[in-house]
Amino acid sequence: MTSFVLAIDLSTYDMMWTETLTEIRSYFRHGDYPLAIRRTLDATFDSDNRTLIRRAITWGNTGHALLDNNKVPDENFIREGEDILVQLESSEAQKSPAYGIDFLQANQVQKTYTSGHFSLKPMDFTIKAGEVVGVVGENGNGKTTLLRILSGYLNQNAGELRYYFQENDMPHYYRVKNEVAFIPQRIPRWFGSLKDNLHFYASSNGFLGEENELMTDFMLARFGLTKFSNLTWNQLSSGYRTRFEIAKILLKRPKLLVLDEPLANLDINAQQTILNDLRVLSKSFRKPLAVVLSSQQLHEVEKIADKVLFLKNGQLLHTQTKEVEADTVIEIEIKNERVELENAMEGIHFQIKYNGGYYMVSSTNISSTDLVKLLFQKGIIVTYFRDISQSTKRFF
Amino acid sequence: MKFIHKIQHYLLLHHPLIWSTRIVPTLIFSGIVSVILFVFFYFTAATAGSASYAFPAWVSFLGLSSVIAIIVYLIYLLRFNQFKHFGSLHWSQFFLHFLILFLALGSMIIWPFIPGLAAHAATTTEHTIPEMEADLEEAYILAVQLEYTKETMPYRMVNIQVSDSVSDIMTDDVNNHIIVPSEEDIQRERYVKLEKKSETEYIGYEQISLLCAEFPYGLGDYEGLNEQLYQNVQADISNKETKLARLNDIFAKYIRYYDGNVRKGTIDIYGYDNTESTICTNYKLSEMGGAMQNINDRILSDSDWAVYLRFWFYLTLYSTLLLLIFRYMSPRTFLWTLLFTFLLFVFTMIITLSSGLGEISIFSVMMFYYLLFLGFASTIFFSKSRNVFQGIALNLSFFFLPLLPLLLSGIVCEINDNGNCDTYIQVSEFVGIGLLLISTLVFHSRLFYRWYSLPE
Repeated sequence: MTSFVLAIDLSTYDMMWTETLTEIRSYFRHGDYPLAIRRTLDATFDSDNRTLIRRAITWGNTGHALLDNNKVPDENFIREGEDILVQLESSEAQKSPAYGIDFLQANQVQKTYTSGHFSLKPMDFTIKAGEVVGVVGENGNGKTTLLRILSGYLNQNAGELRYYFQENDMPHYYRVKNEVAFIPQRIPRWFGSLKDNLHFYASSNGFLGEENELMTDFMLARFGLTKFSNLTWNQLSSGYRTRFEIAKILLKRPKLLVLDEPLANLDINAQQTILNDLRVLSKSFRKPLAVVLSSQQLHEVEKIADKVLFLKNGQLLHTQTKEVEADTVIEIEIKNERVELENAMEGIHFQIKYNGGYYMVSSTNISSTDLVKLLFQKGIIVTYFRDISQSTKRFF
Repeated sequence: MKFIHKIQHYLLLHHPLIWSTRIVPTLIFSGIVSVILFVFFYFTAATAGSASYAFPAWVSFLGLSSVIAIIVYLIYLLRFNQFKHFGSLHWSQFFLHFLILFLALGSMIIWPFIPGLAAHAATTTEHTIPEMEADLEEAYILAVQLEYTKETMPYRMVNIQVSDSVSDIMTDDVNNHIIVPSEEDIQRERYVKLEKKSETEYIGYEQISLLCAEFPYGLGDYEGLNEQLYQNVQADISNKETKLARLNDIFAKYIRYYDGNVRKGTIDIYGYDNTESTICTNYKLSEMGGAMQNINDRILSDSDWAVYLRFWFYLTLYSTLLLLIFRYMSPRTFLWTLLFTFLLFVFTMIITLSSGLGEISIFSVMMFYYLLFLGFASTIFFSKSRNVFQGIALNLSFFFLPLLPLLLSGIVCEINDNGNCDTYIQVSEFVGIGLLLISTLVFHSRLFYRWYSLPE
């Protein structure tokens, strides 16, 4: 298989505590208030300082209310945010020793349905704490099957799944379900108010009394759900339902969060928010979380994933975890005819595939930047361009 | 409501299982309904003669209300189930869950029993049981004498004998005795042998019915009552006025709106004898019969109480087990269990009826079934994935656990040919309940937790 480079922004993953706070300050400076609020809340949560968490919740709710009313946060708000950051500086959070441990190892795991119409071929991979793993592939290629196996909802026919807490050959499945949280594509309907549900999940998972109140309020503030506290399922949009589901599931304090198509039915802003949240949550200083998510939104998933599993016909075609040398592959949409494109690339070793929407051009002897320059020089009118040399998109 | 809300909020934050079962509002609601019903029946229906007709209707209505209330409760229960979210649960939660559901369902299932309870309480508060027994027996005898001392009748009673079967009427007719067969044998129709009044008058049997004063013989010993009847009817019946007055006293005591009039029967203007109907009407024998019957129904003896209590208990217990299974099982497997149980029942009935098996064999087959279910359910501990068959076996081994000792006693009783198995059965019932409670704590709880958490 042709090697390729998978571009992943790893710059924030190994951040130290002070760097995290610096990054939050930059959000304030540039007026990215929603992001600044969320990251500040995450940071206070990592500090484990309850007084500070409580203060940040109130502050965060004020910020959300201002933003919801299209108002720019005033000086007082920003000053209080800075004050919280100063306090966070003095209570430096220690990075969890759990970082990087193998939460789950899959050895030759495979699944064949009794009907025989589909089978997941044997596959090996590891999922580490603090890692985001994207599972991509076309519909019907086994993404959901794989996720259900990882979550302990579906049994594999052969091979072994070994969880970090497992002492015997057979894991304690109640613990698996307790430590691995699975959010299906179709979120099951729930009843009662949003806040009552969060309280219930918190107390069901050991947060009792005041701690329950604190955790629930934190999740509401963190996911911008405070103003929807008393709403029911019917009164929430798909995006908020997904946010609620993530907030709820985090109250389980899972070690592995598995999401099946969490971006489906979400608008682009909601997708970015959720993905960013997942990335940040997985890198929590004190409570790192392994996240596995499947999606059709390849570019968005690849932006946040540490590892991408590409499935085709039930087979794990490729696992990519670090940058490697790869051929140049770009996606372009042009106003010119195909012949003109081929003529423009004369003298270069290339391949062109047209998938009905745009051309996929691959080449072994020119970089993507040079290729685009060349096309402009030759008078090709490019209306869309994307470098997918490091993306699994090239396998589609 | 605020108070309930506060309690619920506290439970939500501290005891999610108790909160999710809605036990507090359920108990408060059921409690209020029960108190209202109790007060209503205590002060209205306890002694009213006409209530004998309304009483079963009330019980049916309350039974239906109870079913509706339980359905509403079940719908609310569907909303939250801590177990199926795989929270931080301990095995003992299963036991607690069982107790909570038992309480909740029991508090609603008891509604149809409340009229009886209230009436019993009202009746026994007003009069002592021995007093009512005595009055009831006296009223019965008086009513018999009244109806058979009509002036126009061509014969009179001289004697009454109690017989155990109808056939005795045909054989024991030589001593000019009136024979009253046992109630059960002739479905409360009484046959008398009448002594002829003169040589020209007809002698024979006549079916008599205490048309307007039908009520049970009494609370106490059936034989004892008939003995009294026998002795009383033999006594001088000429002092009818005294008897009427006595009857009047009893009416006044038990029939709330009795007007106190005591009048003799008459012959109407066409010469027809309407003595019987006049007596019935004037002395309100119908009302008295109804009232006495009510009183008799409501003065439940110890054995009656045991029957009612047992009925309520087992109804609640098995409803609870069914509900508990549903909450700890996938809906698909739960429904398969119901279907499988029905098919197994039909299959066993066919085999049993066609092969003419004895009781020991039937009990043994049931015991075999149970052990098979239990054994298969135990394999869940070693299973890597869950399947429907293990789920069905688990459900049945849990549901029928309280019956296991009863089955064993049945077999032992049959083998020893011991006719008096009451003690065995009572002990077995307690042992069965004990086994169930222990199992909900240490065995079946683990099986349910494990089965549900296994991958499919």
